[in-house]
Amino acid sequence: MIQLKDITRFYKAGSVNTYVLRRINLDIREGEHICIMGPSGAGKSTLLNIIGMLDEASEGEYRFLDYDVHGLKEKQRSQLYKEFIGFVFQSYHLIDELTVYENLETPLLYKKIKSSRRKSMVCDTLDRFQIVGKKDLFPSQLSGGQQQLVGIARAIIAEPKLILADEPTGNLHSEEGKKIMELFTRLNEEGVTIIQATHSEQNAAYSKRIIYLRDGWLVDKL
Amino acid sequence: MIRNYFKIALRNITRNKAYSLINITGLAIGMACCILITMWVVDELSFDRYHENAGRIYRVTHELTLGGTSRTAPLVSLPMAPALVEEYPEVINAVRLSRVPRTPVQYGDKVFYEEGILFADSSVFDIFSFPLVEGNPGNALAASYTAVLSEATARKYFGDEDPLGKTIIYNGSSYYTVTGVVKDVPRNSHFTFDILCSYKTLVEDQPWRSAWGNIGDFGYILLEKNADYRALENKLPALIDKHLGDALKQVGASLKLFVQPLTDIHLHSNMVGELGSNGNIVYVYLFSGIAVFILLIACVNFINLATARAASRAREVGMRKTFGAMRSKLIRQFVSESILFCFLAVILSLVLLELFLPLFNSIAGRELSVSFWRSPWFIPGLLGLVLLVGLAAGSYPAFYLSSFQPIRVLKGDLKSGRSNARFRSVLVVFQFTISIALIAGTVIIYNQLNYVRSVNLGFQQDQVVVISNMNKFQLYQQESFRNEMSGLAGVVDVTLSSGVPGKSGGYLQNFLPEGFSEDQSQLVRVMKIDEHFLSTLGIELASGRNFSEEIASDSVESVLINETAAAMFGWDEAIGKIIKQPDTQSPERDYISHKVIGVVKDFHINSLHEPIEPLIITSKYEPWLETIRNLSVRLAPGNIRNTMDLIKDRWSAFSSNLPFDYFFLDETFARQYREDERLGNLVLSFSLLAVIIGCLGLLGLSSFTAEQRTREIGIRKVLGASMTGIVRLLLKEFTLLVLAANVIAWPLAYFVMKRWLEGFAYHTDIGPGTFIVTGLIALAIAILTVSYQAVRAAVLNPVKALRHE
Repeated sequence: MIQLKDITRFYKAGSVNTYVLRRINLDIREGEHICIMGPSGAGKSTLLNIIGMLDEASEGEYRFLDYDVHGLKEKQRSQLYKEFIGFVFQSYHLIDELTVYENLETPLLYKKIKSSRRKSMVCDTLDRFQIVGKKDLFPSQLSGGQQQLVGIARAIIAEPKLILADEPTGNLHSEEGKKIMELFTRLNEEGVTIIQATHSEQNAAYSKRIIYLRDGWLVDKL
Repeated sequence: MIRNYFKIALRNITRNKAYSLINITGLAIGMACCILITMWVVDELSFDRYHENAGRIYRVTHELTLGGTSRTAPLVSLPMAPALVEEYPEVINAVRLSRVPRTPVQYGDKVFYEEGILFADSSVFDIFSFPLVEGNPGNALAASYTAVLSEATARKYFGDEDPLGKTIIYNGSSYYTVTGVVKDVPRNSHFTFDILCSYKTLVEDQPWRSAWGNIGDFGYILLEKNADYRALENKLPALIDKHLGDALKQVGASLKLFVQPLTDIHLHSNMVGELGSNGNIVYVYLFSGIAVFILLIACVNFINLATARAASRAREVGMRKTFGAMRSKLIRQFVSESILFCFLAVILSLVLLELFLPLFNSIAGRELSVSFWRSPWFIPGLLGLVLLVGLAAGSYPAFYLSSFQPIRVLKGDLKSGRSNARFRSVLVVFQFTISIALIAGTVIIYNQLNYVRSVNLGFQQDQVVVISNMNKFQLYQQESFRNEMSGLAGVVDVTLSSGVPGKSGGYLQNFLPEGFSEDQSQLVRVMKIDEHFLSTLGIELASGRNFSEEIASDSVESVLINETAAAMFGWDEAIGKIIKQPDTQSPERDYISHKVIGVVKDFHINSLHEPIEPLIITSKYEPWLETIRNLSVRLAPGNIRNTMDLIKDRWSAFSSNLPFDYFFLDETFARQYREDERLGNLVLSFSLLAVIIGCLGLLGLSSFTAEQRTREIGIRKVLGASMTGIVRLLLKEFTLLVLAANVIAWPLAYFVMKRWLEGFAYHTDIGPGTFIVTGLIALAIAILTVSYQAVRAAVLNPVKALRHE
């Protein structure tokens, strides 16, 4: 599903290049549950962003499904987002002005799904995440764990093949975090590919494959 | 999807109440100004267009050049209009109009002074669209001594009676039969009237009018469809040559006729002696410009505030992009959001409009009404405005907001708007440039108005009351009434004259001053006075003497001239010089000679728009030139009401109960600046609004910058900065912008206002003081606006500020 070949990412700071990722080679097959681990500044988020096409590699080759990501236009990329990818962020990034229901609905609007079907999809998801009672609340009225629940619900509502989660439990206490990870495991069993970046050994325990990053290099062990 | 956008937009509006209020109020004021000015402009452009033949009606005007001076006037002579119909096939019809001064009209025991009396050919109803409510347009004015009244006038005289066939008494002695009632003339006409009298009356009763050279009537012609009026104009010299060639050659004059489209008159024609006070295309441009600029100021507010608080929308943009939203979709979202803002603003602006329309009308001297809203293009126009402003204000923020990279905003490291600060600065400078230019314009206009009110006019205008309908009496009657007046307690002096300052009225006549050859006639205005004129009005003699009752030759042979006339004739010593005048009554074209006995110091007989003209002043006994109309009474200070009552009593006895019709000289003179005062008040109003909108924006912007710099301010305070130091820091930024705006606005205002001032023959200069005052006003307003936020930020506890991060 994902093939990274010699992916390097650096930022220009004056005349010096600061390397964040160095020659990453990575193959990810559909249905995997991968955990990217490493200390702060190791390049976890950058790698996740590159996989999510939010960021672009400075050098190297990236194939997503059968597309060469490097040559994609904005339109094709947004098409891929819509079709295949759901994002989950550490700080949830729900839209403050929209209710839980409307937040869930928004990705479907971009997929141009008809109103009646949209309604049933949102209701199903609310049901499944057991947040029906909260559907008319605004994000600011929810606890962190509940917000992340909505965040994940929003990420999977459009039935993506791939979920990219950047420190999904970073702002949650352990009980909430555990629930989220169980949710990921269940989704993975249903066939969704999950890649998460995390600090937490506890989270890593849920995944089937762990890759380690240190100072931008892919390493076998920390 | 639209619903989703709509919800977000509405919730954003309600969540950030202060921000929304500033934005919507600013836009609403801007839009209200814009709609108001548009209504005014549309009204200006609509003049005379209601006539069915509007595109085919033309007015014939002339330019007379004599002795090196040219005069243009919208006038022709009696035979010219019919001759045009006769000689040129493209001229289908013609009408002559003749204006008369304020005249009393009587029916039964009702007497009113009528300002709006015109003598007109019966073709007036064929050419113009003045529909008759009663009577037959074909022959209503066909016979002499017939009159057609406007509906309002008919009601005034006849109430519920049928006006047709009734007789009204014109000026106490002529009897006119009412043959029709015409619908009241629409206000958007370059001329209006209350009573039309048949022109045939003039043709029959005043045979001297029929001379080709006796130019004093208005002439309008109707051309064939698609006729080229310029081609017609080019043929007219031949007509003049045929009828007036010899006479013109004799005095060394030239006369040219011009053909002027009816629809151009109101905005493009401003000759001496127009039938009404016309508009000015320059003001149409000026105010359209002001409308656009005020709207732009409001748009700038929107842009500035939207980009300043972009950070708060950034996360939403990032998320939407990860959902697969294309940039174009986001642009559409933000633009539709700003259109929603504009929609709310336009609703508020209509409320404002409804509230302030009466005020605007009184300032602008208009009768615009909300019935205007019923016109078929009002709603589409309004929607167009909403779209236009929405796009103008929303495009830049939309492009800016939609450009956020999700990776950066979602990481939360958006450096809020530093890169945009410069762009915002430019926009603030732009806003203030316009505001300052408008303030400067206001200051300059008021300066000039102040100047025209305080300048030495060359005569004393205070406490002079003028009775202006003496012309129906014989000279001996006028004199006996004058003597009676001068004996009244509270009366200082009394004089009889043809014209008074502010209402000169006199015709231009051609004269042959000493030292000029026969083909070098000079065109000079004439006034007729008695020996009390100079003393009553406080006009001084430069040399020579006044008219005197004791000297018999003064009665017809002597004249006074003013200094300008002496200069025009090139006379260093004018006393004793002879001025000859062709005797129009004698077939041999003899000359009548006048001797100059005195030179009066120049006084302003017209407004300060006009330069002082050369003037020849004849004695009251001079038989041909001018008629004595005015009795001017100088009152002693104090108890003026009592004196006025006395004068009124005497007038009633003298005039056998004609209504007492009078005016105060200073008021009438000041009225000549009414249009200028209107302009001043309008520009003042709009500059106030521009400043208010600009300040609204500045208030919003300063609160955002203060918020953005909360952390910086906190750190500075922890490091020991004083409160005043912090306030100064925050004020500095905006102060510099306002100063920059001043630098741009000054030359702008200077060049525009210089052109306006050139419309006055006598005007103030634009000194640096004006600009310094303006700059200080703008600076004070800006600092006042910003300091609220600055002080608030400065007194904030630094612990709070730093925890904020």
